[in-house]
This record gives sequence, C-alpha cells and structure tokens, in this order.
Amino acid sequence: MILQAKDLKKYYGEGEAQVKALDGVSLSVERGEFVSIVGTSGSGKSTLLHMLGGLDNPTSGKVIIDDKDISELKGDALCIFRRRKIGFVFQSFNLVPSLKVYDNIVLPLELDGSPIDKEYIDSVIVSLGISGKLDAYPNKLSGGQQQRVAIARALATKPAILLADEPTGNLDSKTSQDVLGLLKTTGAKFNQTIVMITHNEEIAQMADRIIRIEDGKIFD
Amino acid sequence: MSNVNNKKAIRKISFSGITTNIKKYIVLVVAVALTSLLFTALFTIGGSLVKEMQLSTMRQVGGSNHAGFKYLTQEEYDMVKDDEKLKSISYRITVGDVANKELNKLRTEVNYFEPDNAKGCFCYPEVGNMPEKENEIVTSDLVLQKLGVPVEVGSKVSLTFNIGGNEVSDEFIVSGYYRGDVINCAQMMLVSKAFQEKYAPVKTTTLPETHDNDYVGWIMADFDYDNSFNIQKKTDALIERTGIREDVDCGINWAYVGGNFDAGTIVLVGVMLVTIFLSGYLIIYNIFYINVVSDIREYGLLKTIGTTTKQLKKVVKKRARIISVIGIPLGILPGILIGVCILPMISKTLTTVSIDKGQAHLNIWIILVAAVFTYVTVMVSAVKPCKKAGSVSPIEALRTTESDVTGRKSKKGLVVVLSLSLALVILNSVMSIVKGFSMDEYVEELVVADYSVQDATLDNPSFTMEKVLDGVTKEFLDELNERTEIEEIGNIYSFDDYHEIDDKNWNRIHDKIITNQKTLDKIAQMYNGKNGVPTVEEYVDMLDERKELDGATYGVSKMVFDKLKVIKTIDGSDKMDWDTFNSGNYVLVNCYKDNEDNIIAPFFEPGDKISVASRDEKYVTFEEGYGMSGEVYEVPNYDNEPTKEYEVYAVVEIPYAVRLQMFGEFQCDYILSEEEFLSLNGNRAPMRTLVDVKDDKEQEFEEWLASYTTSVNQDLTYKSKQTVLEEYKSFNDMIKVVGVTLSIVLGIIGLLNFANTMISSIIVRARELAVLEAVGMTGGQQKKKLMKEGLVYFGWTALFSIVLSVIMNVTLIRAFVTAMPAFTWKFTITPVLLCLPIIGVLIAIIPIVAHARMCRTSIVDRLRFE
Repeated sequence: MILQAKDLKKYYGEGEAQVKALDGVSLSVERGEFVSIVGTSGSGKSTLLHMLGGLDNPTSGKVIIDDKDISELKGDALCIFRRRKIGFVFQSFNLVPSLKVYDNIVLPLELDGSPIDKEYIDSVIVSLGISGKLDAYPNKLSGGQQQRVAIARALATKPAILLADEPTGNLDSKTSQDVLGLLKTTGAKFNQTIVMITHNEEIAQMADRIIRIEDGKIFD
Repeated sequence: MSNVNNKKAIRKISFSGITTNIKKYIVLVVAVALTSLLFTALFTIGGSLVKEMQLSTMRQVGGSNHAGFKYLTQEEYDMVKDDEKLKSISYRITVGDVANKELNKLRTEVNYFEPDNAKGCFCYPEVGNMPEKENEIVTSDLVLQKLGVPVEVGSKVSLTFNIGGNEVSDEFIVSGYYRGDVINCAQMMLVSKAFQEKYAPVKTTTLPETHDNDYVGWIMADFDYDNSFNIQKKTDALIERTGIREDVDCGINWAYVGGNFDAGTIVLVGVMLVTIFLSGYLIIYNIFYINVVSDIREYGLLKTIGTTTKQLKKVVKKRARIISVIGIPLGILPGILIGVCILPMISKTLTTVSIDKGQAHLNIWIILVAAVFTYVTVMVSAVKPCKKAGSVSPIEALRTTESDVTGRKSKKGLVVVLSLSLALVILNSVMSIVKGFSMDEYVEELVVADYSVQDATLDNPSFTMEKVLDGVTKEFLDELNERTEIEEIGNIYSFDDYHEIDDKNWNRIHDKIITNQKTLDKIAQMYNGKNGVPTVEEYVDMLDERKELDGATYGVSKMVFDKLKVIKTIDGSDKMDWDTFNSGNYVLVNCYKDNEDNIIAPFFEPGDKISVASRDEKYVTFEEGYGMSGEVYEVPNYDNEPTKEYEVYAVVEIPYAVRLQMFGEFQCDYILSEEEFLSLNGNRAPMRTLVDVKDDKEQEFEEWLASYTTSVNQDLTYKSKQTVLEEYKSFNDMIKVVGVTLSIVLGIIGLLNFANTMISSIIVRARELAVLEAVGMTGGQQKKKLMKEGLVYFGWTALFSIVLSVIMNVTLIRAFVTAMPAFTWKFTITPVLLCLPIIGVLIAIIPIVAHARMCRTSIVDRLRFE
C-alpha cells in the first residue's frame, strides 16, 4: 500500500454556512497502480488531491504515503517530503518561465541538492519525446510539449506517487490522448503510481481503476 | 460619434479596483503624500525667503506700495486720486525731521500719514493708536530707545523738529509705536493732522514753480495697481491719462522689479526644483507602472468585455486622481511644519530683514502651487502606465504571466537603483561640505583678537546707509585702558573713499591689473552693457580717464600690524619691522583679487612711491547735494587737501576681521601706522578697536563690555571670538539639517520604491512561487532566492552611489566648497559607505517580510489564482 487516506474531512466555514468539501473520504492505492478520480466541478476532487499531495491540511483524518503520516509533517519538512515523494502535474503546466526545459525538469533534484541520475532522466526524456527541446524556454513550446515537460519534472525525483490535476484540461482532444498515453506508458515503464483527477469520463477510462466522488463523498 | 454616458461605469471601475487592492494603493498614497510633503516644504521655505527678501527691499526703500508720486500739491493729488485703474492710493505729508542730537545716527523723518500709507510704509503703530491730538506722535521702538524714553504708550518725550530750517521744540506724548528695522533708510515719526496743518501746510504751488527749497508740506502719494506686472508702463500711462505734469517725481518700488536674483541663485533653485521633481517622478512613476502591470489582467478582462482603450486610460487617470486627492492633503501639513522648522536656519544665514526674521510667510498660493506641482508630477508619472494599460491586448493580458513583468526588470531596476543612489549621493555631498568646514582656519581669518569693538553700523550688512568709520569713542577707550583684564589693545583707523593715482603708477596698474584677462573676465559679469550699465570697454575708458581707484586709507597700531599677512616686502623677506614702518616714510598696500580670493596682482610693488592725500577736516569744503527723496546733504570736496609721498614697504593682505567689510570693484587700500595716519589726517577716532584679554578674565571682561555697549554707549557693538564661532557653526548646522532632511526623505522614497518593486514582484509571482513550493522549494530556499534578487539591486546601488558620489565630490562639491570662505575641500565617501550596510540590511529584510506576508495565503489558493 503506497497511499492511504483515512476518513478525510475538510470543512470550510461554520454553522449554517459550513461547506463540507470532503466528508469522510477513505481510499487506498497500490504501488504501480493508475487510479483516476472522477467528479463534477465542485465535487471535492481537487480538494482531495491537495490533501493527498500535502498542499492542504485536512480538518480531520490521515494521509499515509509510503508508511509516513504526512499530517504529522509541517512547513519545510512537509515541503521536503513533497519534493522527494510526490510529483505534481498541473492543468496549467506551471513550468518556471525563466528556466530552460532541462533545468525545469531537474529543478526538484537541484532544490534537494541530490545527485542527478543522468541515465534515468535521459530515459524519461526520451520516453516523453522531448529530447529536442531541452534548451528551449517553456513559452516556446506548445501546450502538449509543456505538459510533457511537466510530467518529466514530476518523474525526475522518482517519487512514490505522481499526482495529476486535470493534466489535459488545457489541451485539445488529440493532444490529450497523446499526453495521456505517454503518462500511462512512462508510468508503467518506471513502475510509477499515478493518481489523476479529471471531470472527463473518457479520459478517466484510461486508468486501471476509477474512483467517483460527489458532494465530498466517494460512491461506487 | 455618439457620446456615451459612461462616467458612472468608469467611476465604479476606478473605485472598485482601488478598494479591492487597498494595500497596493496605500503605498501609492504614501508616495504621493511624501512628494507633496517635499514640494510643500520646499515652497514654504522658498516662498517665505523670496517674500522676506522682497520685504527687506521694501523696508530699505521704505514702502510696500507699487509706485508713488512725490512732491505733489493738493490739486495735483486730486488729479490722480480717483483714477479707476488704481486699486488703492494713500498719502503722507512731509513735515521735517527730528533734530534731537540723540538721533544724530538714526535719521528720523517727521510726516503726517494716512493710516493706509503708514501701513504701506511699515510704520503703522503695532501698539497704541495713530496720533490724533496735536501733541501726539507715533514712532519706532528704536527711536524711543535712542531718546531714552520707555517704549510704551503714554511716554512723554521732548522733541525738537527741524521744519524747513526752523526749529520747533515741544513735549509730546507717545500714542503708539512700531518695531523699527535698522535696514530702513530712515525711521519715521508720525504726527497728527492738526500738527501738520499748523506747521507744514500743504503746498499750493507745484514743485517746478515754487521758490521754496524746504521740502515741507509736500504730498507724497503711494498707490497700488491690481497686480505688480509692468509697473513702469502702467505709471507712464497713469501720468498721461491724468494729465499730471510729465516731470512729476515718480518712484517705482524696485522690490517688485524682478531680476534682483543673481544667476547662481537661479541655477541653485533650478537644480533643487529639478531634483525634487525628479525624485517625485521617480517614486510615483515606478509605483504606478508596477501597479498597472500587476493589474494588467484586470485591464485585459475589461477589454474583453468591451472597454475601449480610451476608457481604460480614463480608469487609470481617474485612479491617479483619487490617489492625489487623498495623498496631497496628507503631505501638506507635515510639509509646512518641516518648512517652518527649517526656515529660520536658512534665513539666519541670509541678509534680509532684522525683525520677524525667519518667519513663514504662508499663503494659500504656496499651498496651491505645491499641490498643483504634486498633482502634475502624479499625472505626468501616470502617462506611460496609462499607455501601457490602454495598449493591453485582451488575449495577451489574460494569458500574461510573470514573464512579462520580470521582463521589465532591468528598466524598473534602474529606477529603483537611481532613486536609492540619489539619496546617498546627496547625503554624501552634504556631509562632505559639512566635513570640509574648518573652523580653525576660518577663525584665524575672521577673528584676529578676543574682542573687536566698533560702531554698530559698521559690520551690519543690512545697514546700507553711510557707515560710521570713527565710532570708537574716546570715553570708551579711556575706560577700556583702565580695565585690568586687558592683555593688548590695537586700533584701526580708516577713511574710505578713493585714491588719485599718478600717471606712472597708473600705467602699470592699467597694464598689470585692469587689462589683465582675469580682471576683464571678472568685471564683465558686472559691466554687461545692459540696462544702462556700461560695457567693459566703456568702464575701462572711464577708469583711464579718471585715474582714480576706490579704496580706504587705514591707520593701524602695532598689534594690528602684527596680524597683517605679508605677501612681499621691500627687502625681499617675509618679515616686517614695526619700527621701520613706524618711521613715517612707509605705506603698505594690498592686492587685487579675483572672486575666488586668488591674487591677480598687487596694486603697487615694494619700493614704489605713492602719494596719499590727507582727509583732514581743516581742508575739506562742502558742496550741496540731494539725496534719493530730495533731502539736502553736504558732499565733501577734498581738492584742497595736501598729500604726502610714501614708499611702499610691503604688499600685505588685511584680515577680513580688521578691514571694512564692503568693497568697490578695485579696492585699493593704503595702510599707514597709527601715528602717521593721525598726523596726516588730523585727530580721529578709531574705526575698530581690537582687544586681547588675559585667558582667565574673559568672562569678567565680557560682562563689562556687554553692559557698556547696552547701557553706556548703545552705538557701539562688539564681536567676540565666541560669537563668530557660533555664527558659523549655525551656518554649518543649517547645511547639515537641510541636507540630512532631504537625504532622509529621498532615502525613504528610494526604499519605498524598492519595497514596492519587491512586493509587487512577489505578488505578481505568487503563483510561480507557489508552483516552486509545490515541486518542493522550501520557504528558506524561496527567501534566499528573493534576497539574492534584492542583493542585485543593492550591488548596483552601491556601485552607482559610490561612483556618482566620487564624481560629485571632485567636481561640483569641490567647486562649491572652494568658493566658500570657511570651507576646505576634503574628499570623503564615508557617509555612503556607512549607509550602504543599513540599506543592505533593509534590502535583505523587505523581501523576506513580503514573502512572509504572501505565505499567509495558503499554497492551494495561490496555485488556484489565475
């Protein structure tokens, strides 16, 4: 079990105005699994992903990644855990505009001061088909290319888990298919656990398992 | 084109943008308030000083009215008084002057005044009332003091008036008094209408027709126009319009005639204004620009929903206006306060009025001008940001991310670096001036003895009338000689007029001095051929024809002789022997110098023979002359004076503290020994007496001297070494206070600018930083990154400020300091080096604080922000 969430709750506000973004969510993900979380806008799926990635604190409940309860971590410790164990892929790519493609990819490693596994990085780059773009700046790339760079960056630290937040939300359908295909194959190739959230049923179907969420609750 | 009424919408957008971003706009309001503070302080000081100088001129002239006609009959006055173009007119009637011998040195005119005219002539009673009864008078406190009468309403005073040659003596009652100023050319005594009608009835025949020569009973009319432009033209027109005789004596008040500011002052004021305007522009422009850029998404959005470029510009301008309306009034009050505090320090160093000196002359115009100036600065600063906002393409703006803002870094950075450096450079310049102030060297020049005693008029630069050159009385000297505290006494005697030069000497002076290129350059500043002033050539011709030079003849005793600075002597050494000099055959001469106090050439060489004319009263004849307002006085004629030939013993420099502190274009001075001076010129009292006192007796002696000069002989004044030291310390303090204040304000502006740049860049990059955090950049790493960015600014600021300070130091500051008497140029860069670490710390702290504030928003929210 690489990822476990136990009775996660996230409430905003109080009394009448209280909003229950997450209302007792429990789930577990096995190593190497590709899980998609599907829900409509406002269903709580983004909140869940933020909790899983340690970007936000739950009102109650636990998140355990690689046997570590991340709700026990705070501040810089959480940040360091995140960069070692979790890779993020965002809807809007979120590459650092002032860094070249290659530097973006190895940024998490450099921030950690850890050695760069040249061979591994190269194979990720080749797998994602961006070898020709390493010296370019992000704003010179197409959306699909940018997202591929973002995936490479997420994989660079060999994280325990890769969290993808609507990774194809900003891409056209053809490109979406390509990027997703790459995500799946590279994930499989490097035995990577992937949790992806999406509102698109068709894209969700590409995962090994689908978890549906509505009104802050999981239902099957 | 149809006119769409969208004012309401624009207003709404403008306000909502501000209220949702209130913190950002508070920074802008503070910036505008600081600018307004700077401008208000500057204009308060500048306006008050100009007013004070104008007032000083008016007091010298004796009135504040625009112009006046003199020596009118009632009939002539009636021709003018109802003229429509005159805003106001009032008159006084001449009666005579006060003949009491106590007032020998304080000329006091007697007139009947209309109340308005008294106000215009600065003699309206500040305490008490205008004279009503025949035996009532109003005069200045100075006159009452001189007369030995208590300065209060109801005092009785015996006066003798000289009314057209007839003396009228009576007992009068003081019905009121005003504070007199020594710079007035005459003090006034106001008499009642009844008195004037009895003793000085108004003339009935006009001035050209009258045979009287007594200046009694003339109407002197003063008037004002609506404004002070073109007074001469208006007055010419008035004469023609009213049909008053064309040769009427008319006087234009030259306080209203511009041009009594020299080029240096104008340049200085100009530089100040530009600096202040620039710093205001620097703050506001940068902050505004950053604001527009950080709001660019909003502008893009507005554009996508159909806001036109014009409307967007209106929104930005409207916001600028809202900021001005709040910020400008906030800066005005503290600005006035700062101005009022600094004003007396500056005024003290200027020669202006002597009562109410350093007082702020506030009026609504000063505040308005400062407000308008700030407003213009804000609007000018908003022009470019406005364009930027207007030129936003909707798609771009929506997609705009950090890169567009960071792309602007270099330009924005330059403004930040410049504004920080400006403050440092000014601080460094001020401190190097202050540091160059060398009291000791200066005191040597200014103070040659513990005490210097002289007539009160002698060294008072405000007193422009004839100075008293023989003011140290025998009574004083007798008492002085009996004091036991004395170590040494030295006298300086003088006559100050002109010397006739013989042909042989003149030719040499002509060749070596007058036609010397340096001299020609110097006199060209004055003799420019404009406004009736002769050209240099005409002036030189005039000199050659007259063969006379302005100059004093001094007599000095041994103590003073020892203080003279020797340039060269007859035997080639640099020592002079008192006994040789005192033998009666020798004279000392001085040098001609340029404006920087460098010697151009001595007027005579050692060994030259020159003849010195006696000024003994025995040989003087008098001719009748007329003064400015027609008063008669006697002009001495020295044509019959005998002369004596002397050999030039040495060329010397006379210390400033010894000589007369005013001089002509070519000030050619002769110095004789005390004995020789008195034998040539007959008996005369010293101009100045120097006293050295035993070291531990100074306090005792000063107490006596102070009491003597206040109670026994008020004409005498003294200057101690201590007062001179304090005088010049206060000048130094002024430069320090003004400069440091300016540096602090500019420094705050610079830091504000930097903080704003950093904060804006952090706000704009909040999402980028959130991404970095998401992928694992810790808070510590982010802070380091931001600090590094700050340090780049710091590095450039350090480089700029050091280089600019060095350049300023060796050019402008050096030139300025060299021209100042008490200063020597000293290179310094220490103030910058001392301030840089402080700025460095602030530059490091500001990004960290800004980052900490940003971190209060959760990373999820920052990631979501788009």
